[in-house]
Amino acid sequence: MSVEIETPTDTVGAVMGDINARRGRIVSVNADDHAEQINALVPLAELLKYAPVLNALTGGRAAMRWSLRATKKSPGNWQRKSVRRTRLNGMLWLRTEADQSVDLRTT
Amino acid sequence: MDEIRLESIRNIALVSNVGAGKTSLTEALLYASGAIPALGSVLQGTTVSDFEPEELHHHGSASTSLLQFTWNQTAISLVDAPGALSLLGESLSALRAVDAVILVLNPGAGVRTELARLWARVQELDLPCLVFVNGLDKEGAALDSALDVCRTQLECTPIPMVLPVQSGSGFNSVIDLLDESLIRSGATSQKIERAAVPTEMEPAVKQARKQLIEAVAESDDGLLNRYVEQGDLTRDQLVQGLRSDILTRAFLPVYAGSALHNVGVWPLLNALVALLPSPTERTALHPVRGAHPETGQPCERKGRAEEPFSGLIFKTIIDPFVGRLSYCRILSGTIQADSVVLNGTRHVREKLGHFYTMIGKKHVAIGSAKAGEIVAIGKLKDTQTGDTLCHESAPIGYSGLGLPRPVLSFAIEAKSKAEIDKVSLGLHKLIEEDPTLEFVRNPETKDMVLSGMGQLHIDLALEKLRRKFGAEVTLHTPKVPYRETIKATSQAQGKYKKQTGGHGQYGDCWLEISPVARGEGFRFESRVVGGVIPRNFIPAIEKAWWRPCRRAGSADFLLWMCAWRSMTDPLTPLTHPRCHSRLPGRWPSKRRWKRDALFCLSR
Repeated sequence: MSVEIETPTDTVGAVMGDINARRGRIVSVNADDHAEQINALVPLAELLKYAPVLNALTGGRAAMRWSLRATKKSPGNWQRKSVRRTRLNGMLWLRTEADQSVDLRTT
Repeated sequence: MDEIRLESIRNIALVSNVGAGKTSLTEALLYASGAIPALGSVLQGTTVSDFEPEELHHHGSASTSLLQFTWNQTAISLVDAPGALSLLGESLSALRAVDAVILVLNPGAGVRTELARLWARVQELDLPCLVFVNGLDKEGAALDSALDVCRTQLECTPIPMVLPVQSGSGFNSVIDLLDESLIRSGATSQKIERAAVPTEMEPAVKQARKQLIEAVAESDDGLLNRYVEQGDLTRDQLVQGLRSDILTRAFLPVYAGSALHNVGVWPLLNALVALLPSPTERTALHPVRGAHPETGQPCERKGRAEEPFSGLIFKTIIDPFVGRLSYCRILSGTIQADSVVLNGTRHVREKLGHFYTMIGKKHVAIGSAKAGEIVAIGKLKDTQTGDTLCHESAPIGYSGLGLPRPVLSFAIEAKSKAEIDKVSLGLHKLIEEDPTLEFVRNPETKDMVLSGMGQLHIDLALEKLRRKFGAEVTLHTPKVPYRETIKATSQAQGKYKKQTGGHGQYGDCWLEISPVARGEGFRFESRVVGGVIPRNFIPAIEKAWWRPCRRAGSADFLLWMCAWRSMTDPLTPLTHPRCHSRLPGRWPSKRRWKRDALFCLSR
């Protein structure tokens, strides 16, 4: 998800550190008068309960907007976890050929 | 209600930090004006403004209430909006309906986030403002600390209009600097006592009055000359100067007292009438601007009763007795109850119901309303909060309320199956009352997602849902709509045999699945040659594949970015179209598929 956070200057460090901890990538930081605007890409799964965290980090002084930007490949351990968590009702069978595998990270 | 002239209307909102005493001040103003016989208290849940069970339970306002009363032949509408940060939408909408603001400050509390945001909007709208410093009955509370807050955090010049006499416990009187008299009052009586200024306070009063007069004289050359010549200004001159200074926001006049003990409220009540602008004065300075809903041409209303009717809905409530009530600020023209108008935002005709003036939950029916007034309109069908109502011959649309988007989401689930309908119906009603709530069904994860501005906001919504609609829900973290794709080409064979009775059915089909470029989505192509699978069966195969594709696999995610190709084993032609649709169900070995081919993408 593309996230846009406006935060007071004194808490920018805390917010940016937190975004990094949430598998996020900071795209840009623009300084305004008293506030800074952070643009970042963060997975949706990390943003579900982000509003209270952001409030706690900034004393409620930050504002946030988010929108879907693009889908990215999840890390392997994350995939295994989320697949295990959900029901197993797939009805497909596929035969893989390892040499033909496509890495979507580059596409 | 008596006929009210346009000049004698005041529409005022209260803004402050949460818990600063807006509702108490509203109550005290009502009490001091004689509109209510006894002074209620927020903690005991006896105020006029907070009447919903959730508000009593949380000891704080949860929704905007409208309190209309008269004082000095002036109709005053107080809009008491909740202060909590997660209910900010209510306060922001209230600011669109009023001509002036009372800022309630607590000494020592500073400006918190919610107030900072509201203050930014007040400045944006250029709303005239009075300050009331509340809670001077508390030990150690001093007016000066609140004045410092105005200077440093609000970046305005505060000018005291009253001086508290002996703040702390036993605080019961203030000195009105306009009249230079001491005003004593208490929570048990609506009457006030006037007395002379005590001698020990005289120097302080003189100095404060000098500061006030100088501030007023500074912004008006005529008054400045008179002040230089005479060394003083009369009360009328002061009031006149103050009115124009407040309208142009030259400085912040500061009143002080204790709303809980009804001290210092009387001077404020008089100031509302004497110093704050009427709708005419305000719209003369700031005409309301809108646009023609179809052509987009900008139009303007001067806020006069002779203009065509227009109004802005700033709050909707569902009243248990009269049904839906929409609070409307009439911005221009005159309108009768039960007439037909145009909703300029949604382009639909709307039949107005009865008009009411409100005082908390009580309402009094009135016949008509005109520019500058705030009325509650009953039974609007299609009109939502933030919509513009206007005369059909002069359509206009005002900009919306500029509400913030929700930031916190939960997946909700009805506790029992019987309540599912009630939950969805109830939440849609609640969203009508509070447009900062959002309720959608996520088609991918099948979650019912309720979004709001914060935890308190969601909790209040669910409490209301339980009380009004009897629906209990549980909250979960919403599922993430992950997506899956394949990373390698793979082939599989499906067979279908039915040999019992009639003619036998036999089908055999090879399918190949292979990745395509990102963003291409799902594509199906047939590579059948020589008609071994008859052409008219192909769509059935595609359809059959599309279904599991949507709910594919081990994790029940959307499968995408694949090309499916159908091929045949050239030996065995299919005999019945139905067998194709059953083919995908015949693929074996979930386990192998899970192991091999898929990975998921996160968002």
